[in-house]
Amino acid sequence: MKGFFILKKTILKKTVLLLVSFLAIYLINFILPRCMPGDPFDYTSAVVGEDNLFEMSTEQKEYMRKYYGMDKPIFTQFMETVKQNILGNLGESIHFKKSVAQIINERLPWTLLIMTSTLIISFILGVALALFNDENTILGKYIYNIFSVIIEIPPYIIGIVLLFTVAVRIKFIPISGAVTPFISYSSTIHKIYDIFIHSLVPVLSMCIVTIPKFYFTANASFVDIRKKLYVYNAHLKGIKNSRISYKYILINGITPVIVRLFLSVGSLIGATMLIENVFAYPGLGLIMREAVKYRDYPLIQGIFLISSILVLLNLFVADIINSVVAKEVLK
Amino acid sequence: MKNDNILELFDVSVKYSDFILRPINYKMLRNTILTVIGESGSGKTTLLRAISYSLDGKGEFFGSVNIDGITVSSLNEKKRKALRSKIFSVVLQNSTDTLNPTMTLFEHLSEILKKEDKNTENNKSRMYELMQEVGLCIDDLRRYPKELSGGMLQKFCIACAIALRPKIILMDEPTSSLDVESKNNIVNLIEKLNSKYNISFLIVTHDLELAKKISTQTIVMYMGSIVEIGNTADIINSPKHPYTRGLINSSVGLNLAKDIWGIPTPKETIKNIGCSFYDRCTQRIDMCRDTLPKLTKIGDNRFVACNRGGIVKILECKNISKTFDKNVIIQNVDLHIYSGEIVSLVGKSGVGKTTLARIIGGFDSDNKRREIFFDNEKADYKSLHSTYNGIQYIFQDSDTALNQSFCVFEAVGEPMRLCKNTQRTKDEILLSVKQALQDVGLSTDEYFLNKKISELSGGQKQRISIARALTMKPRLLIADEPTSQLDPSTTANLLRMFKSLQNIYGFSMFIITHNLVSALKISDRIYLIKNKNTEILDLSNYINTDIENISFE
Repeated sequence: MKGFFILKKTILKKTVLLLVSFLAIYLINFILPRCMPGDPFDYTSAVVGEDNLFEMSTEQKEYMRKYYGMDKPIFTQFMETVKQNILGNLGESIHFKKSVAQIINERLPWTLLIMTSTLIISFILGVALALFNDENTILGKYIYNIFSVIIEIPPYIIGIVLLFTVAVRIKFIPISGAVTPFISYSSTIHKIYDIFIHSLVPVLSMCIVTIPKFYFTANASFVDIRKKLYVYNAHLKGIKNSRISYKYILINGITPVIVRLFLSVGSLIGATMLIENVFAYPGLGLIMREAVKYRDYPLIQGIFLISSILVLLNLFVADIINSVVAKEVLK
Repeated sequence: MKNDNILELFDVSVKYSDFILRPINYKMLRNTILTVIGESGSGKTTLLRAISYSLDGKGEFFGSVNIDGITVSSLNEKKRKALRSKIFSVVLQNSTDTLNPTMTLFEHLSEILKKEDKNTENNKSRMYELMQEVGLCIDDLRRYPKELSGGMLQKFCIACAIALRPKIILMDEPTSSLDVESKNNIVNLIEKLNSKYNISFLIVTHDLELAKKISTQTIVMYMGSIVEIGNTADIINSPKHPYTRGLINSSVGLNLAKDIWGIPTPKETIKNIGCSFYDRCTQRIDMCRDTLPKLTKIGDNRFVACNRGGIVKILECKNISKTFDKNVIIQNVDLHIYSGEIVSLVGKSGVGKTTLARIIGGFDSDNKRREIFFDNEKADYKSLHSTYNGIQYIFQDSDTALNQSFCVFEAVGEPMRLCKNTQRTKDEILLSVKQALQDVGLSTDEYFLNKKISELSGGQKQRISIARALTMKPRLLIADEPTSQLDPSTTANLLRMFKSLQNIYGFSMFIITHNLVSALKISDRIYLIKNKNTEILDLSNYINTDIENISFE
């Protein structure tokens, strides 16, 4: 009962912390885009999604600024945005002339697709490698060194290398996009295959960097567990190795890896956005580049808002798992 | 083909970078309980790990181990794994960490039982049987290891160990960190399993009381080698290696009346290629420094590894009789004192205690020719009195024993000045005097050294007498009623001082006293002089509290 009370207190504390960090990020989200030189009307044109071939005249710009409420003092603008956001309205994209919510709605699933695929694949492979790593094999001996090098390479570089070495050379692997343009699918399986083959190289590029991350976390945890007396005792009792690996090492050592899973969402969002640009994958990353380019304040704010909520929630979950585990240990 | 030995060790040795288990050969009979005793770091646990072939990564194993006729050490790990729990089990030192925190007791037991039988129903009934066998509830099977007490945990680990009916169980400190009641439960359980199922036990422990209670055979280990092997009762009652005796003297459970004294750790370890006990030994000779003692048979089923053949008899006398004017005082007294031992002689006044002491001390002669041997040679008192490493005597009355007109320095330094064969310079004498005074807890400053003996108190004079004796580094110190004239507090201080000096310097002591209680506090053995002869008192008769059965409820 007491333990439960302490846990409740921790969750409350973490929630307050979560809200404070959210507010800070929200404020920065608002200010940061406006610190960039120029404003949307220096870059965008009246035509949807087109570059401004003809610069607008000063009068036109003034008119547009007035139209979007950007002539008001920045504090008034901020309050207006807060009001709209609370009502659930993320605003209108200046460049795409569409509601921000609609754009995010279209783009977010693609980002989530390659992100979660990467997370799941890397988690499973990283843990499996750490669990079954046999130091007597050549791979087992050098895996640590190999991964130490790979982990330092930014995923978009791997993406570019893969783009030129794999995607361009192998015919059935597309080099860009999330689906084949203008295709009509013969069946659901065909559709799934098309989506799969398009996401293959982007996911692979990210996995190459993310697998070592999970491997290192899992390995560190499993090395600790392997030193535990109960593992030694299990060997003494003559328990099968496979059972020791699963029931003793994996079950007792997996928690830090799960925490790592949630913690890595933050860095992975960044990586995904860059990878999307390499493969012209139509997720949030690609649209964000556009948004920044055209100083599309509402869109930038919307994308940042969504991704920061994602990251914060995952950090929160990781925090809670950690404190629950700490309680278990203290019990 | 079955042989009589459940366990056979052939030249088993282990090499770590900082520790070596020296080659061990041993055969253990079926259905016996063997204990391996020694201090921490003596190699007991390493031996256990070597036998069960479970050394941690850096240890190198040599030799071969036969368990139940199977050479376990030469099998590959897969085959050995199949034998684990079936032929031999290991019970690790009691700790929650030995069980998987995320598995219930049920899962723990079932994974072992599944090695033999995959049928869950059969296993279930066997589990209930096992839990009852070790004295746990069946409901406990639902619990997690963290929910168990130390005693329950140990019982459960034993249940796991006997699950597949092995022939031998190797246990590491089975009763450490348990209270008296749980300890007794475990001891009873082990004895029951031994007699009911003929399971042999090899128990590694530093608890001599446990060894005494449970085992028939005992191996004593020190710094990675065996120093003594024998029947447990023999080893406890008459240890043959100085280290074994040290262990016994340190054991609370074996010294209920006597004060306990640990084996002194040397101030500096002397690197030597000889006996590993060299720097802590009280009877070492030069040979021990560079000769590794071999385990030699000294009796029926008794082995000791000592260059001197075990604890030496520093003094032995046979058939001593003394008559004063046709009055027979003592007749045909046999008496011996081992090296490093405190022996007391008790008895009423006037029975001849002092007479016997004076004969042994060489200040009186008995009727016949003396049959007194000092360190296996006929005692030559003239030289023993006046040389280093001989016999020194502290007289009952320190007032008359000391020249009252001497100053402290003169009185304490006198024996050294009189010493014939080794002449010392004044500085050396001063140094020794100061050391001796410090040892007996007296001041060493200039003022005190120049104080006249006549100006000192009774307690101080007694200490001066002792200091005088100590300067000669005696191998045998005889003290006649050293505390009879002192108040209780001074007596207590002096007795403890005697024992601590003895513990440090390792000399033997022969104390004459009429106070049995104080004798019980410090003596290893007590002779009672009665009816003109001596008898050895059984010290255990003098403990009337039944400590074993004290409960805390």
